Amino acid sequence: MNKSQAINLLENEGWTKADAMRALEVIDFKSNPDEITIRRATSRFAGTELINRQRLQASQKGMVTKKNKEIERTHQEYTAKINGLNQSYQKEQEKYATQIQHLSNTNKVLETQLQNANTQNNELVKANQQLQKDNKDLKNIIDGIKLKLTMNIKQLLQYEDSEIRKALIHMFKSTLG
Amino acid sequence: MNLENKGLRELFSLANQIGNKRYHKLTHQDFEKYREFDYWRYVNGDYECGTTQESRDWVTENSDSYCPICEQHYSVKGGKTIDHKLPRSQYPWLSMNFHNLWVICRDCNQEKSEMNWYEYEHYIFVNYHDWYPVVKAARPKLLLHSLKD
Repeated sequence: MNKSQAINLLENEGWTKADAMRALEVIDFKSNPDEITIRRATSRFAGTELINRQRLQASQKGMVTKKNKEIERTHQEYTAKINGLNQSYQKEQEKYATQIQHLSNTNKVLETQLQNANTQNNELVKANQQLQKDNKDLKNIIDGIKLKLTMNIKQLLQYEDSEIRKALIHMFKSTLG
Repeated sequence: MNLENKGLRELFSLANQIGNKRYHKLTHQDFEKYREFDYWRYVNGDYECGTTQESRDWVTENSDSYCPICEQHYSVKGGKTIDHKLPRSQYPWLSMNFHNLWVICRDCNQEKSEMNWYEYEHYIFVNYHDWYPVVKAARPKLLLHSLKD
């Protein structure tokens, strides 16, 4: 009997393939062993040993099931958390989008106000520059009139008439104020 | 205001009140322009740090040994000074306009003080009649005309 035949024999009797292979490790199949040799070698894995192994397997399966359930639960927890976070992120995003829109509107209003203020300021600067010049121009015109008057009076004072001279001297004095 | 009953002296006095009034606003920019001259004339713009070489060169190029007004030697009249024909405190935009600058002696500069140009001509005509032609010749005609622009 070769190894495959021996494994088939044991599988037909309810062994798992892995158990069969483990039990047959001690057999030298080059010597073409018969069924009795195989059964003798595998008998150590039957009975109590098999029951213990099956119990162990069941226990391991139970642990796997428990672990799977735990993983499933954790997965669900994290999914719920992620969903919660996504929702709050979305809410935050909507809140910020509203705020950004609000700030953008305020910004536009301020921009318009700034433009108006700039325009008004430019107008005032121009008016101020004009006032500066006008103020000085007026002052110079008045001073120019005074100067001209003084010069004319001085010229007229060369003449003799005493009454006119008196009047002119009075006028001359009035230009000195 | 009733102007009919006022004498010539009062009318001139009223005109002077308005003429000397600075009803325009002296802005920050005006003050900066006013200070431009200080930075050109004085080291670090500070009178106490001395004058700059550039402004001293300008003074040398634009003056001889005698004050153009009183014709006295600068050495007996307090030395050379740069005067703004139209005072920079009242015409800050002309602070660094070289048509507005001339070199005169310290005494004449102090006597001229902050007078407006025709006010100064009038002052010279009445008090120093002989000096009047020189002062009249120095009249900054273009700058005065530019006030009408």
